[in-house]
Amino acid sequence: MATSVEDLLGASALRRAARLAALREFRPSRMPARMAVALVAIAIGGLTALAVVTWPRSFLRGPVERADHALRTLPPSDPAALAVAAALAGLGLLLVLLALLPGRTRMEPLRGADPLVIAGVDRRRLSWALAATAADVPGVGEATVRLRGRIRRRVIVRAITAYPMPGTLAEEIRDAVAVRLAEMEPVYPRTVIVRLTWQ
Amino acid sequence: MRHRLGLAVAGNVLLCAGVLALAGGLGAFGAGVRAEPVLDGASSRLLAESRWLWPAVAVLGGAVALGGLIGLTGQVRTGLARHIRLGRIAPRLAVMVSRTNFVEEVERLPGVVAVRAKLTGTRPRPRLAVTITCAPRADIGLLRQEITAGPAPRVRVALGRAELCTVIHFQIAGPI
Repeated sequence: MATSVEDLLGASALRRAARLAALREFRPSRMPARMAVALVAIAIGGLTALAVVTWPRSFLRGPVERADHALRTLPPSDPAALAVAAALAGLGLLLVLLALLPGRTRMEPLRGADPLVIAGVDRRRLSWALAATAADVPGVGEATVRLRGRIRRRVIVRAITAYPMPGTLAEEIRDAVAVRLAEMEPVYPRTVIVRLTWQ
Repeated sequence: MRHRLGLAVAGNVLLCAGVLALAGGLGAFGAGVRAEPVLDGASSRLLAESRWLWPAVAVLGGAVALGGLIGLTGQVRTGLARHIRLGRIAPRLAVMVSRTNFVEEVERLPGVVAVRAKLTGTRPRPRLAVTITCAPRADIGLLRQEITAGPAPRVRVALGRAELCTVIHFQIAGPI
């Protein structure tokens, strides 16, 4: 049976949906920062509303009057005011970065053809499996693997060989690790870099 | 990105406030702003005489607190739903049998060492959370394809839940 254009488009849309679902599932949720922001919003918003509603018999009268006094006496160029402004700007920048940067996940998301089946592989275990693959190449004594980079994603293989003139051993290791990685079909493609040392 | 919106909004508000205050303190808005206290006589009068300002501040504070509460509830709900076993979404026997069948089917696939499966999520969005420990040289891509083609759709059919999402965590058995 011939494959129609609709079939191809349907499959690619499913693959795209599966890829997005995997990325969404394994993206760091920033739970501690989000909880902290929510708790601070509840505290500040609630206390502000309470202070206004219960004024002038509010239990927050002391702190509010101290803040009022500081705003009436301190100029913005005062070192204390500058320090508070810098701290606010720094905290804001940190929160914006936490929201924008993808972050490092514990799981490496895998591609799929069905958005209802989402898969990921543990990154540390993946490194270990790739190291085992590199160590299986004849001539390699020992190998370690690190997954690096969030924009330029790489697999860095450090291998030790007993051959003083290893010839094409580095390429063989790179091919073996690249094939093993391609079998797993990770969402993010990675460049394999081999650093071979003679011992 | 949606779940990080609160972080982005709070971060932008703090960043803008901090940068504006720093700019004022460093003289970007003129020497007058830099040397004068933030609240002067005119602003004090406005604060004292305005009839709408303080009710608006109270409403704004309440809205911020409510937003925080809604965000916190959503986070706790999502966090718990991912880990706590889901209650009845189908007859109990059907859930037990389909989960056991799924585990047995996946265990028979080449390279699989151990399988754990748990039904989690919420009633409208149930999830089958699966942890598969496989041999170091197992073909994980092939395993995923096999699960996508057979066991996962069969659980959906057995439970009568077409929207059931299967989330697989592959672990590779090794010395770590």
